Amino acid sequence: MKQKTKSILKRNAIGYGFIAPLLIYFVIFQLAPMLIALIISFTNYSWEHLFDYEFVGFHNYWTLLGAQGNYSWFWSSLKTTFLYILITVPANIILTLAVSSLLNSKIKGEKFFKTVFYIPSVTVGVAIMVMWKQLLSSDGVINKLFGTNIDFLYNNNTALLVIALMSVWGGLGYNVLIMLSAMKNIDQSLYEAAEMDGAGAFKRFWYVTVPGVMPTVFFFLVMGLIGGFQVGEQMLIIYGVNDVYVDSMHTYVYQLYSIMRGDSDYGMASAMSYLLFLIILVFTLIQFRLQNGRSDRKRRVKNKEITANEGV
Amino acid sequence: MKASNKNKLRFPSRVNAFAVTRKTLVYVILIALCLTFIVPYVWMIASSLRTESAYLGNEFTLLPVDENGKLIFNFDNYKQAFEALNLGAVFLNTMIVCVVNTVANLFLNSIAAYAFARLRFFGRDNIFKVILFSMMVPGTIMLVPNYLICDYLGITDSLFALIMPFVMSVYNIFLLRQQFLGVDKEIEEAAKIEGAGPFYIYFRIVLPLVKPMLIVLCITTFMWNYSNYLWPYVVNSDPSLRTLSTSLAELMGTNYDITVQLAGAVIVSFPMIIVFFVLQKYIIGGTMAGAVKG
Repeated sequence: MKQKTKSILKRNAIGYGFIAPLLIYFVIFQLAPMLIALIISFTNYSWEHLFDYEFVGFHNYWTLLGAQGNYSWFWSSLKTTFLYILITVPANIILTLAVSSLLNSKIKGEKFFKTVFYIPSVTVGVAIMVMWKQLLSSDGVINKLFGTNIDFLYNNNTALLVIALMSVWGGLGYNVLIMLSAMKNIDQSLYEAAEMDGAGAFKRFWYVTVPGVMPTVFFFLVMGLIGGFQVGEQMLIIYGVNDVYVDSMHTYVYQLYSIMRGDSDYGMASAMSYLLFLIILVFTLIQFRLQNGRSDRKRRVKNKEITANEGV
Repeated sequence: MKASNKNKLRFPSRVNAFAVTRKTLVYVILIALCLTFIVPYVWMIASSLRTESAYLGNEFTLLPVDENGKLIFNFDNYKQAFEALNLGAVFLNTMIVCVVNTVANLFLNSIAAYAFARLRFFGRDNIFKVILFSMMVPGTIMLVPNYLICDYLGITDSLFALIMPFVMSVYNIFLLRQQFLGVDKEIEEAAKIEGAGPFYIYFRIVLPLVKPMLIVLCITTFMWNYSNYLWPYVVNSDPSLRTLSTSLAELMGTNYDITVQLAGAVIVSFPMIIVFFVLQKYIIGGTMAGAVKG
């Protein structure tokens, strides 16, 4: 008996020894920050009140949600973020599906294309911004090609759109790799069966490929939403903090960076980040609920089919 | 191969013509798309070798040419970018951060992942669940408090501030745990019967079996740290602590010639692009393997 307790103790000691670094790291750089952010979101902790900060209750949250005073942009920044998501998520999914199915149609040079599309994924983000900033400038290549004179990044009608397209361009290679491996996992006999039933290329795509990669599409949807809500780094690199000229690209997180790095208002920035967390949580839960509903329905249909078959 | 021969026999011309046009169309689309990826990079390199006046005056070109259309290799841009980026110190900073973080990540993540996959101890699965849940929290929340914590630890004026918050990664632990779960248990059982301790089993038996994944994580961790911009920008204000990304962003906001800025972008981005071409087997394979497992 004593021997057994000893060995259990030893087992636990070894286990906790292995995860000790993780626990220390997790407490200091994950758990503590989450709690600290929550606490200071209820204070006026900022550059002006570094030492004499005090609790202000929900003041930060109400100021933001009411879009009061300096924060009148609150709702419009959310709208801008939604717009970004509405452009990038569908564009990502459609383009990725199209390119992946082209690459999956037994062509030569699949590896070459995959490699080329992947280059932006391994290019330093800031360097991509330097490149596109010049390509898109009013006397840049794009304008020369089309004979136009639009300052894409500094025009309120185009700024958000071109940044969104830039991120679709940059993410394509990675997304295609994931989509391709999903497509290659589809049972080949399904295609053969469909072909025997006389289904053309498009029908095979719609009835075999698309259902087969649905989980991956859902994955893109979830990740696109979570990532889309946090868009702002590109804007920060191109425009710096506290930009006042190109309102149309002021996303939620861009404004958060401005408050944090520009105004050094940590209380307000933390309140903004917790609101963001809530928004992301709600949307993710809705998506999972929808997904579960869908597969439940499918399962029920399947069960019905099985029972019907058994009846025969 | 056989099937296509059969088709040829049955429908000699029509089917073939149709298939050929379709194939051609596929290639045309893919190559056109490819150009939108290659042309910007070629243009960037070409422009970085031109003089400012030629760059501003000329129509669209993918060759480094001067005003008269003659080839020119103006390496002065690179010299200026080199100085503007403070490349010597900045490169050293970036390398220190990348190497330390990569080594620390591989070691610390893998022992934790191994414990979660194989060792039996009190509360293992619940701890893992809590840690996984933290992946749901948007990174943006961590920015302010992590800055305050680094300030409290007194490391905001050193490279430690770029290292400490990233010495481990929950996502990589998750990926490695999946790998360890796939390792045949019998090998470990056999070693255990032979009297091998958990450290021996981990280092000598299990770790070599997941080597491909370790290589992939080594590359991705290195690359991520190499191009990370936001955190260095937030935490370090001292110019002597800049990394390649933050230094390039700084150069982007100055009045240097555009050709010099583009040269800077080439200097900063091409090491990783070259690494990618050398190691693409692992990177592309790793991404696809991660997709299957995930």
